Amino acid sequence: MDRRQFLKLGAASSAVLTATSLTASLSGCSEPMPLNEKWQVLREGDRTFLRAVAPVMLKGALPEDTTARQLAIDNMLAYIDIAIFNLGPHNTKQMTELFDLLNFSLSRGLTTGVWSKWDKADEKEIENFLNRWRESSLSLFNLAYNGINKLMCATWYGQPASWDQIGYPGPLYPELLITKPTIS
Amino acid sequence: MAIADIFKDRAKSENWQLTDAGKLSQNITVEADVIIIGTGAGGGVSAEVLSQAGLKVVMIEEGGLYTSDNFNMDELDAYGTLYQEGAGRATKDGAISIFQGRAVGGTTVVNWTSSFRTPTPTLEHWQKHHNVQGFSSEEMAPYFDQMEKRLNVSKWAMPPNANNDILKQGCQAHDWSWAVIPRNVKGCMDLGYCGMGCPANAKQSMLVTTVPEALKNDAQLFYRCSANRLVFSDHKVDSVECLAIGEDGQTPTGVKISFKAPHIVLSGGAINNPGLLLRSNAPDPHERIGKRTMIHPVNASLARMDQKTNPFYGAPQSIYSDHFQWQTQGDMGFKLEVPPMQPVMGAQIMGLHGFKLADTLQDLSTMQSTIALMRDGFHEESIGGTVELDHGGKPVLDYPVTDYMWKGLRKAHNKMAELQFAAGAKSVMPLHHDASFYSNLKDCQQAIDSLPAELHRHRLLTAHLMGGCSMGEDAKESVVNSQGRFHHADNLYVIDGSVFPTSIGANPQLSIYALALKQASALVKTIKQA
Repeated sequence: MDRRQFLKLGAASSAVLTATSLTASLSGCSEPMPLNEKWQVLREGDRTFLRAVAPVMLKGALPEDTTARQLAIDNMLAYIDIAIFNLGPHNTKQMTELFDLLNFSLSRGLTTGVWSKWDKADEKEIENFLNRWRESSLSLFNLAYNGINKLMCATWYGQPASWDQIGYPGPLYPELLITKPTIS
Repeated sequence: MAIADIFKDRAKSENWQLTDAGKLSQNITVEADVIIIGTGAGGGVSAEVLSQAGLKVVMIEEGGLYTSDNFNMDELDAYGTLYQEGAGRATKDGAISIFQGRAVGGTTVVNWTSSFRTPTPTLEHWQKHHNVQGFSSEEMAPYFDQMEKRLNVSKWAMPPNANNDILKQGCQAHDWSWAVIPRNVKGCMDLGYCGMGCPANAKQSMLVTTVPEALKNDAQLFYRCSANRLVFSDHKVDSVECLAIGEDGQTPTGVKISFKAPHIVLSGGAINNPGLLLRSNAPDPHERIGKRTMIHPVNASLARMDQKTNPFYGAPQSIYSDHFQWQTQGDMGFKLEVPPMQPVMGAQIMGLHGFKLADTLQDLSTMQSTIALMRDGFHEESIGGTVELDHGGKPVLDYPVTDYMWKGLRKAHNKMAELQFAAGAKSVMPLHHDASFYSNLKDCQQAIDSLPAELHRHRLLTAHLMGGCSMGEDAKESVVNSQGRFHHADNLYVIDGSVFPTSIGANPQLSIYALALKQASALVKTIKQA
């Protein structure tokens, strides 16, 4: 795809970005907020999206071992849920709208280029979507990429399981200074 | 736990009056001589000065009360609890990340301890262009002296960590000026986790200095107590209406607290102060509230070095260069410093994913990062941003990046690359979506010169929020007078960094401390004479 085609696609996607997420909300396609103890913000569809994207966003960083990888992603989801809640009501609403857009099939397809459901999407498709949003000439997509990227970077590299690989031995004098570890 | 939690211990032995507003079950009214909204650099010093004068002080803080037992050098936990909007605050268009504290002690709990006096050219500029009186270097000197003594400010005497030492080496190689940073620490263990709250109580933040002193002097502290509205009547403020915030730090419990006092001091910082004034429909005939908000926009350059740098350890900032700060040939001036790089901070600023991210972070322990802090507010093409309210009444900062600033940011990237290569960098990457690591200066500068000047692609952040309640003698141009009194209400004072008419051109905490000492001391006199 050359730059011109890309721009055209970008302009079209930008228009649907607002239109379809609005449609999703009005038509009741927007999943209601979670109503259980475990999740404050993330709905089932949001979690499916994050589970699908995390291994691609963090390719080469997440553990190879299936169990360790699953645990890492479970932890990430729990931390992302808290992190979005801590952003405050205004930003939480914006993130929820972004997730609506990503979960509503028409807007997902048009803006990300991923036409299959997230749990059926293959790695290549997801990688294309990340590159497309990162490289887009539309700042709205850059912004959305940055948001998802920062959440995932923070919640993986905040976990001690990630530290060996990057040569970070962890905080100094833990036995003296850490009163109560908040991450296990 | 070998390190005592001095706040908790003293609270018990001295019977401090601490109220978690989130735990109140019914609406209450509280009266005092002075109400101070905010407990950061401005509010903390004001509380100390006013309470020492025998006045009954009440401190109001929106954030939670976290003390050294809570500071566990854990990035996720700290960013989520100690920062505004869970460290996710950003400018209106989302392009510039804003790191601002939200806890008892304010940003002083999480800052990196750099303590500079307000530069003389900045003070002169205020006098000349913003009609500010009483802020000459000579007039300010005693306040700086006193606050430096109070907070144990002195030049960092230990060797700088490698991250800072490389900044020094790069400057030396080019014959650029550099110096050692003064820090407000006592018994510092050289850990590097200042941004997560000091676990050793070494940082002389408001949490361990002025707030305890005020509490000892019978001040009361209400935390998780969010100032929602000032009630104005006839050239004065009658009361401050607050909402109690629950344990989750976000959700109002429904309980309302009304504070009444003859004098009200606003110390909620830039963004939040103008936000409160706008929500309260404060008189603003010349529409100055929220204008001229400055942020020292920061860009960053990443270098791969030959040796171990461990940029996550050691005093975060100990060396700086002002070589490009004041002699600028008409360009925007900037200060060069370094940031600490713990994993979350390091990973988040990259803007990369997949193997590129993993490969880059694999070298974290041999990385160096340099940052440039742009001195905004000194030029007609740099008038800062504007604070406005969103539909829910939350303040947001609309901050435009002008061509003049883009030019300055590009120059800063060029100079940072020159510095890093001269200090032995193997490769350098300016943080921008369209850049990668370049192995020589020529390729790097060629890339820098062609990087698109686009928000969201250029990584930008700020940790210094200033202005929005600008001071000056001309009510058409400012929000408060040179004593910090609101132009349109006689008993309302703004005492903190939000009154600065420009950015400082240096990390602002000591500028705020000295200003607060001066303004609060004058306020004591005003109150006693009345």
